[in-house]
Amino acid sequence: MARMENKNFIIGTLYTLILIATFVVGCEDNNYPESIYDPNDKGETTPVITSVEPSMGKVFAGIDTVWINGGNFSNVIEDNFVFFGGEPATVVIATETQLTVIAPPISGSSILIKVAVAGVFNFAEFQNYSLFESVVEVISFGEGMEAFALAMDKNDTLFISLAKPKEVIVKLSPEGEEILTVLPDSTETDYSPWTLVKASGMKWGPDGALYYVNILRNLFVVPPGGGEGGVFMPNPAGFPDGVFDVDFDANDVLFAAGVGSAIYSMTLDGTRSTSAVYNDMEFKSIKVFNGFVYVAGVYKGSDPTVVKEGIWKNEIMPAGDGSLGDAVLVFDWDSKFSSIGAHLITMAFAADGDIYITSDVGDAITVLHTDGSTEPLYPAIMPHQINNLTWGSGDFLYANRWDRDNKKSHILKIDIRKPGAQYHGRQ
Amino acid sequence: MLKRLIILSQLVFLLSTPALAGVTGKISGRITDSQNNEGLPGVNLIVEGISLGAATDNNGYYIILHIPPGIHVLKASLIGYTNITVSNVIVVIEQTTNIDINMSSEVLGLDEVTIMAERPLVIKDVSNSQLNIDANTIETIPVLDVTEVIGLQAGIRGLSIRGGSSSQSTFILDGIVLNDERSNVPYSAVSLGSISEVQIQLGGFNAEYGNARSGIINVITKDGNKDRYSGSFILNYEPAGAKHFGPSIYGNDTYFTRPYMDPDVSFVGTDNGPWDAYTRKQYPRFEGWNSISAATLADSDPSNDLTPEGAKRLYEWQHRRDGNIAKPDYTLDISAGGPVPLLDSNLGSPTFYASFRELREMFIFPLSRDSYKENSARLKITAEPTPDSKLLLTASYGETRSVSPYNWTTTPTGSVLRSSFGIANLINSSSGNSIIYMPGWYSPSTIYRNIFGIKYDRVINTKTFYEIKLQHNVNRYNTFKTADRDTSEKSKTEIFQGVFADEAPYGYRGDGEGSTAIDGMGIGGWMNLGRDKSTISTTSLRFDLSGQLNNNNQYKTGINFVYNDYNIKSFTRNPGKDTWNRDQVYRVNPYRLNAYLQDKLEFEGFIANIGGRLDLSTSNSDRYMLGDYDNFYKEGMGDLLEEGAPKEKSKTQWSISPRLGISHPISENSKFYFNYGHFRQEPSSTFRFRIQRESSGLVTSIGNPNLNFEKTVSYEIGYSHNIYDQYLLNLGAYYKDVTDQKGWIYYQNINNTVQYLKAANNNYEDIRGFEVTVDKRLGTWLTGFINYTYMVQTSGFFGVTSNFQDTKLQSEFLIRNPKQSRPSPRPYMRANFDIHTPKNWGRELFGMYPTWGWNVNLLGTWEAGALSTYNPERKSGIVNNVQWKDTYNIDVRFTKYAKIRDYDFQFFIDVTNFLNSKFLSTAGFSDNFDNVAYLESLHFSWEEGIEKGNDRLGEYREEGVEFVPMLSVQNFADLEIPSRRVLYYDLSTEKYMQFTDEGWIERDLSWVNREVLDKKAYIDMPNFTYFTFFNPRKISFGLKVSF
Repeated sequence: MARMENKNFIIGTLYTLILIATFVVGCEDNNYPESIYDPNDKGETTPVITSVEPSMGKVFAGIDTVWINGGNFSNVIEDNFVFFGGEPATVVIATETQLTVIAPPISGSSILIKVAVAGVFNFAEFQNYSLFESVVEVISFGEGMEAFALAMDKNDTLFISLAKPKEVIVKLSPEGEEILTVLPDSTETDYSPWTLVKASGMKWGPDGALYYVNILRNLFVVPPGGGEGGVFMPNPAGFPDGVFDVDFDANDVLFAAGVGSAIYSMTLDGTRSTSAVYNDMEFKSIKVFNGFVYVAGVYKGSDPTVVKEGIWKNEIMPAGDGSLGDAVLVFDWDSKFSSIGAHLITMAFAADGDIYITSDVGDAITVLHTDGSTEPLYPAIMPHQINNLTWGSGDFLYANRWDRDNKKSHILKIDIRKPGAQYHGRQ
Repeated sequence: MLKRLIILSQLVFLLSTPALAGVTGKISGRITDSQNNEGLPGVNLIVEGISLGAATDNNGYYIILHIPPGIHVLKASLIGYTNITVSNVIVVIEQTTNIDINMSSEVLGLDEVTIMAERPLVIKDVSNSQLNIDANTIETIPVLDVTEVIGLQAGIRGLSIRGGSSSQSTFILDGIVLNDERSNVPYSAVSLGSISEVQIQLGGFNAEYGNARSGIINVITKDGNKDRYSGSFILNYEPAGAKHFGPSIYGNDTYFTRPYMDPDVSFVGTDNGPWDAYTRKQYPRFEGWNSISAATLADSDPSNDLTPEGAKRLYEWQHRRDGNIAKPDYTLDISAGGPVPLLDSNLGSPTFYASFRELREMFIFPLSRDSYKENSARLKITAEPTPDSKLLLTASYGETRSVSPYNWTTTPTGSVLRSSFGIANLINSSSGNSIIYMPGWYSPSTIYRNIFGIKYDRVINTKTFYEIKLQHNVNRYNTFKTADRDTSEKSKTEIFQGVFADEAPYGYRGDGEGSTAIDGMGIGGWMNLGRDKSTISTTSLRFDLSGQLNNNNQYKTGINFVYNDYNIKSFTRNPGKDTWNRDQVYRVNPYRLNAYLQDKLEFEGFIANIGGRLDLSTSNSDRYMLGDYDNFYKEGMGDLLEEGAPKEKSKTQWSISPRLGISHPISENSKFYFNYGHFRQEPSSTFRFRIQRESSGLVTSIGNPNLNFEKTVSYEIGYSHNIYDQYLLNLGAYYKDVTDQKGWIYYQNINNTVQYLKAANNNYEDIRGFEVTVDKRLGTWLTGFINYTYMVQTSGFFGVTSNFQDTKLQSEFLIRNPKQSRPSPRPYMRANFDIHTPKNWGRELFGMYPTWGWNVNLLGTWEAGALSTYNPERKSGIVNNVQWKDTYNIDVRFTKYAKIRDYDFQFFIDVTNFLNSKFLSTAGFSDNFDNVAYLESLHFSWEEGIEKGNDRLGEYREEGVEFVPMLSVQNFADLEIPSRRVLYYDLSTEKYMQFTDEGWIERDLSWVNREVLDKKAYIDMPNFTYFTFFNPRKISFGLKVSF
């Protein structure tokens, strides 16, 4: 009996100790989490894409808006992640059934669109969407080769004044391949292996020759078919002042403008006239469009009433001898862009009258519509520092861009989706 | 007095006969006639049960040698006199137990008189600092390991004795040396239940002990009883739980995981979310899952495209390891002994004692293994083939299973990971979280030990005996790579629809190429390169002869031969690359021969231990005769060392080491002692034999087989005093002059084609200190001890530790590296109080005393904080200017004893860190920047302005107290973007300001004191919150059954 009680006492003591200890240990329990990986976590419902619009036509990469239709998207813009071929697109509007995005800068005809939504493990996918490039680099010249004026013939062959460093004019196919001229002795050479000076403005003339100018007062010319360039002999004296740019009108009269505050004209027989005179103006560009000569320039005088930087036009008089009407202000660049320190560099005309103006700061190309409004051209993708423009036969505007950082010249082919203005002189 | 003696007898745990063939002691004394107090010649004295005895000489003196330690019964008989039986005669290793007996003639009418011996607290013949701990004391203290018992004594940390590393001590189990000769580290896996007695000699020890410089640890285990079976079963169980304070290492808000898991920042990145700058500083920078997802889409591989949530999901999979401790720690200790079955007394009445011990300590987080595991089994057979001889056979086998701490380097010492700090300290912000999540980052390592010993001792006559001992130890190391990673398609797991992942980061991937997880965590390529397949065999043969020349001189002499076979195969293997393949492979057979002679002189008032020792040692190998910048050290040449390099046979080292110990009893209750000795030791094998080469042949380290013995000259004085027969006071002071210690010297030639380490005897130390111990061994209610240790250790180098052929580099090195370290003494104190209820105390209830057998044992430790240097302004002469907080700890064991039939039960609960104290660990710092940020946030006494305070290193901000940095500014109004977290002190107005949602508000001093200073809210805590504080309060349960 005593032995039994003894045993009970021991067992009772043991249980008591265990209970006390269990209680204390229980208090120490840190209740730690299990693995951070939960095998049962299936995530949120995967979104689906039913269609993508526009489903036809040219959708420009980096520029155009695309609508992705489907389901299980998030209403919160930041919770939707859209990728075109791996490139993230910017979501601008989001609903559960539609995402409005700006297409990213990627082109191709079989682009895979993927949409991820926060909290969802898998992508929604849409195959074979097409995006087009609006800006293509035709050629990138190597270091030590600087491109200047551009001119394009009727076959979309591009001619570029190039310091190689020797000044030449090269001829490029639309794909950017240089086309060498084969001489009678079978040697191959640039279109113009020597041009005396590099060109700041260059135009095809009605005689098949390539005319060009720079800050010097002379007009230079490369004979039809290529060869060494030289001073335009009918009038070797050239212009009274240095000129930057030239353009032909419908009467084959060449207009030129530069530092001399005047617009000069010259016919192919060498007759030179001063067609219009501005006060204290330095012109950067001159273009003929729809019966007017347009000049882009900077006022160097001190009269505060004069627009400091802008585009003016002078009507071409019916006489066809280069005489011009009075100057009319087309666009006051200064009032709009001086706040950001932007200065215009050059300009080109579309067939519908829109003017494409390049500048050194801000948007690379500003489009001046005929109603006076402006908008940047492809601001998301357009690289800066475009110094020269020329229009091809189609919807493409060619641009010469100087990469200041890498000191390289690049020729860009910009799809404007509309043709350029008529190219007088080019036959 | 009688009661005290009874208690003493209770304290000494003696279930079975102590070792017959272990290290022994002796009983001596004088038998006198009670009538005239004159010595009685011819009195026969017999030690009961062990066939040892003696007869008194003409003056009544007797000496009985070679008595195993333990409690004995001494019988004295002489015709015409009443027989006297003296019980409770305690014999201690190498000590003389004095038993004087007064015999009366039979006319008094008694056949036999029994008296109980009383052991004096002050042992007169001990001339050094020496501790003897019996089994009963061990079982009351809340420890589970013999090393923990040893480590509680004054002057000892772990197995490091008086500033000497553990390899300077010798661990002897029943006379068998257990040190692993590879690095001379003691192997101390002994079943606690089998221990009969532990003796620790800290000061100068006798000449018989060699190859040790700091201390001797003698452990005597029980022998089997000749007549019955006895044993014990001990189980200690600690429920699974974290080994650190703070959040889980595997949670989603740790240093490594929070940037990837916190919804506030994990998708948009830590730079973009709402975290303030101070929060960002506590975690690694992460670009965010949105960015990671975009990157997977941007590359040319569409198969790896992941949504942000999918990328996070993959991260979770690759960090899926749940290493929270789910298994308990335990110690299982079983021992049993008795007569060997089926063998009769004709074979010497053989008895056995078998023991088994297994312990598991879970790592603070799992590596390639999840725990440190140790098991050992031992069989001990003793026999007495003849009445005057004894035979001891021991065989033991042990395994230590853990993880190697070496990843990139070879494993020269065979050390393995065990402590929480050691494991946690592997991690820093550079090593990344691979170590936590990747099981194979560090190689598993197992050490196998076989120890066989045979010892024969024979009594030639009553005053002379000898011992012959043969021992063979084999230590095998196996550090190996983990199983290869299964990357087959069929093994992959679908972590979400259509996305499959292999088992990474599990499995070994050693193709040499880096392999990273989605977050950049390394998951292969450069993992667990270290391998070790070494085997070290040690065979020793020893002969000892002891005798008593006369009543005053006991001599002992002996010779010992030790032969080693070092078959070292330690290397790194990088399967996919030529780099990081290093070899440390050699086989050598060094041996040594030692001889000694010592004499114990015992006079009244003067006891001396005098001896000398001759040590001869040869590396038995070749020494390469190379210049410091020899071409043989270069790439392409190192592999030709063995064949091409000039060499000579290694030289034999020899030395003579004098030993002297004097004890001078001042009175019955006090003694003074002094000892002096030279102690020498072979440098560990790696310093003598190592040749480590890269796969290119470049030699990176080379040993020196001609290294001298490492030498310690030790001086010690001490005083022992018995206070009121209750307390024993021990005072000891010592000085140790340590020279010729091994070290590595770096050599680099002018064009860096030679870069290697060469071993040399270039290290010295001066160690001095004193120790105070108050021991209360007897007490009805209370026993225990308190000890205090103060030690100063100065170390330095002879010559330089780096040699650069480039004189500029050499001079820069000399400026940066002083030759001698500044001492940083850290006094420490240990106290143990055992409060117990006396036998039959309290009311009797149903024939028993429920209030008897309750025991509470408190074990307290204190240690002064270490000195450290914090010199942010790099001022010259600033050393040891800050001090860590003192550390303290209390462990408690609650025990209830009970007895049922022949079984003694002992239930116990151990509570470690009873106060749940927290002490900051440097393992919590993610990197040096984190450490510096912590230091900068402290308020030291030498700082000025708002930073002036009384902080010491180790101060901390409690969990839950928000961090409030304190910052002095010239004018708060000038701050462009003020932080809402910071408490600004405006120097211009001398006001405390804080920027809140309501704008700037002034904080008065009482608020600052209450909310910031008192709460230590200004302290920038370590980033590894889970490694900042270790060892929270733990409770384990134990049961011991003895029979």
